[in-house]
This record gives sequence, structure tokens and C-alpha cells, in this order.
Amino acid sequence: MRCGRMPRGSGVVILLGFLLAIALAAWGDVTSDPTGDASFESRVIGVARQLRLGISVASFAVAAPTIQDLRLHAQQLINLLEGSEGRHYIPPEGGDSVAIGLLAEVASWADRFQEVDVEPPLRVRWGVAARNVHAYLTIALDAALSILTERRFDAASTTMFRIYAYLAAAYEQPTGAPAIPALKTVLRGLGIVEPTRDR
Amino acid sequence: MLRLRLRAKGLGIVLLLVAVLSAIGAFLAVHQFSDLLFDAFRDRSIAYVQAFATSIDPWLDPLDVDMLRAASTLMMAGSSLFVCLEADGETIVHELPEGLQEGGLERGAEASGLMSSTTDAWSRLPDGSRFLDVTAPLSGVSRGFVRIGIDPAAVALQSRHTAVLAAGAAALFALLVSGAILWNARRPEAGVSDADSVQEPRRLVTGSLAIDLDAKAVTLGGKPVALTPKQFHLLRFLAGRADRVCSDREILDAVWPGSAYADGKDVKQYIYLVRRRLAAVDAREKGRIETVPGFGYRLVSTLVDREMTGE
Repeated sequence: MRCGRMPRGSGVVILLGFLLAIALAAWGDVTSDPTGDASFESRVIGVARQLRLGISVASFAVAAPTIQDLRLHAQQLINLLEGSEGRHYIPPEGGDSVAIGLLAEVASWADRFQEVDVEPPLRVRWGVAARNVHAYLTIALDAALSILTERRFDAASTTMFRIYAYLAAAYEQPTGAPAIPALKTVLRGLGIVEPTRDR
Repeated sequence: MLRLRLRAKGLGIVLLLVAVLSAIGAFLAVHQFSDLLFDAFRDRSIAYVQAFATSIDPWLDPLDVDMLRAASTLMMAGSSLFVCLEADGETIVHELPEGLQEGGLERGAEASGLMSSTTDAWSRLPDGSRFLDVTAPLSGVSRGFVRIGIDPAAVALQSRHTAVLAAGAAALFALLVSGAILWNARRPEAGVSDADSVQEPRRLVTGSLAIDLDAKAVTLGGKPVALTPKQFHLLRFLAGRADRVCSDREILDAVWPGSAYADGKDVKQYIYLVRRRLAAVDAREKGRIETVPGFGYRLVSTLVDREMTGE
């Protein structure tokens, strides 16, 4: 039966196609996101950008001229941390709403890390990092909520400074992030070279 | 009656003075506090804008317009009326109120030049409301600046609250001081009248002898008796204790108080002189002051006619 026979050379084509498929799969495995989810990386970047925005807000809110301004910026940070599904979320007037809050997003990372094809120690380390980020953000949220009911201006300003510190810690010393003048400013002002290690 | 009227008039003037002084004090305090409040607001607003300019630094090089806009949107809340952001000659955010935009931006043009330090000035919106216009340079970019208008409404409200509180405090102060003055004015008057009516009668009358304490005059049966001040005091003292024996010591303490030199001889001498002055008007009055041997002297209220009794 001629119809039952394969054309001549088709076996070679199939073999080549099979080899090409294996090569493409291998290439894809090397270049793709280790989480196996390409959008996860962009979500992490999104969290980083939102967090830097939060650090920025906290850094200028510390110098806010009135307690009303401090409360408004505290609410902005609450919105950023809780998202539109949060208990304390208040949509800004005419502003963009935050779809998902930083806290919820970071909390979801633990499950995603389970699906990542990385060495177990690295997965554990990422898990610890995510928990730490979540812990710092939770403390920052508590502090921001306390500003809403604070009546003393100086106390509210000090609390905003604490929020800045917690957010900066959550980011783990962001490079080039806005900094509130502190010890480094004094060191630079006095012309003292920053010590790199203890003797 | 006239004295009472004058007293009431004086009191009214004092109370009016207290009210006026309280009002002036409250006004000055509010004015001073308001100045301090606005100065502090200005300092904080400048720091606020400078902090914002520093906080957006990471997104200037390379220029991250999305983040700059996001940060500016978050800054545009509360006291911030508008935010203008320019970097490298590019307008990133331009959120000026309509009226202000039409009214001209002379400071914007100035700010877009080579700015090296923060500038601030009080300006007015087209509707007449005041705001603090602060422009701060952006580091790391050429011709970069951020200009923010800060609304002092919250501070103005605080200032008004303070004024109301100060006015209340001034009114309370005026009320308390007025009350104290009135209380003080009422009390001594009662005290004086009571004391005078019991201990210091304005007029002492003993038989035909009358002593006017206000006029410091003595009359005997309507005729004046000329006395020196010391003699007057001696007679007054004895008349105040009519029919009672007064010792030399009592008389010395009352008429020569605190004197280390006066003694019984002076008392005796002055008793003699007063008797003479009284007798000069009416010879019978010589016996008005009796000597009680071993005890002292006594002014008798009723004279016994010596001739009638045969003494």
C-alpha cells in the first residue's frame, strides 16, 4: 500500500523538528523567570516602585506644615499599603485608586515562591525576606493609622519619621532613595569621612 | 452723697480702664501669637517643599516621568494648592489653578532661570485668598525646580481660634479684676463706718462739753475752747472714757505714744493746762477733770455744783 508509506526524508524532518523543539524548550527555560511566571517579576518591580513612592511621601510628609497635611499623607500611605480592598482605604478625591495594596501583594509571595524552581535554601531566604517586608509594612501601617487619631502635631511628625524608617527598612536600604537628613548630614557637614568598619 | 457719686464715678473709670487694658492685652497677645504662628508655618512650608524636591531626586536622573507625576499627585493634597515641576527644561507637572495661570506667572519665569536657593513669597490667588508661593531648585538637573503654593487656611483658622480664646480670657480677666475691685471697694467702706461709729465717733459730747473730731474743735456750752493739739488729744482721750479713771500710763500711751521722754509730770502739766483752758471759758469747768489720788484722772460727764453742795 503506497498510501501507508511515508514520503522519503520525512523521518529526517521529524527528527530535526523534534530536536528544534527540545532546543527551544531548553532556551526558554534558561531565559524565563525562575518563578515560571513572567508577570511575577513585573509585579515585584511594581511593589518596589510603589514602596519607593511611599518612602518619598513619608520623607516629605515629615516636614508637612500642618497636622491636617500629615493626616492626609498618612491616609495616602494607608491606601498604598492596604489597597482599595483595605479596611481603612479612602479613595482620594479625583486621584487614581490603588488596585492592590503592598501588604496583600507581599503576602501572596509566599505561595508563589513554592512554585519557583530554585535551590531550597534560596527559596527559604526569599521567604524570610518576604516575611520581613510584610512585617515592616505592617508596622508602618499601624503607625500611619495612629497618625489619623493623633492630636499633637510634633508627635504625628515623629510618627511619620518612624513610617519612613520602616518603609526604608522594608526596601532594605534602597539605593538613591530620598533620605531624611540625619547622621550622615552631620558627618558630611563636619567633613568627616564615613567610617566603613569598626576597629 | 457727693462723695458716694465721686466714688462710683472713680470706680467706673477704673473698671473701664481694666476692660480697655484687657482688650489691648488680648489684641497684642493674639497679634504676637498670630505672627509666630505664620512664621512657623512659613518655615515649615519651605522645609516641606525642600523635602519634596529632595524626595523626587531618584527619579530625575534618568527622568522617570511616571514616578514624578505620581509623587506630585500625592503632594497635591491638603495645603498644597498647586505643584509645578520642571526638569531639564521639560514641564513634568503643571497643575496651576486656572485663575492663577491667566493672571501671569512672573515668579515661574524667574524660577525657571538659574536657581540656586529656595525662594518664597506671599501671593494672592485671583479670588483674593492668600497663599505662600515656594520655589525650590532640583539638584542633579539643569534648570530644574519645583514650585508649590501652600494654603495657610489651617493656620488662619488656628489663629482665629486663638483670638477667640484670648478674647474669652481677657473678658474673664476683666471680670475677675472688676469683681475684686468692687469687692475691695465695698468692704472698707463698711469697715470704716462700723469702726467709726463704735470706737471713733465723729463727735464726742459729755454734758456741755462737745468735741468735734473732724473739725478738731472743742466747745463748752457752745463756746469755743482754744487748745493745742496735744491738749486736744488729751481731752479727747479722757472724754472717750468719761467717768472712768485713767492712769498716767494709759494717758502716756495714748497721747505720747512711743515717747521715751514723756512721764507722769507731763501728764500732770497738761491736765493743769486743759483745766485752765476749760475754766477760762466757764469757771465751773475747772472741776471737769478730777484727780483721783494714787490712780490717775477722770473726766466727769456730770458736773456737781460745788457751791450748791457746799464744797
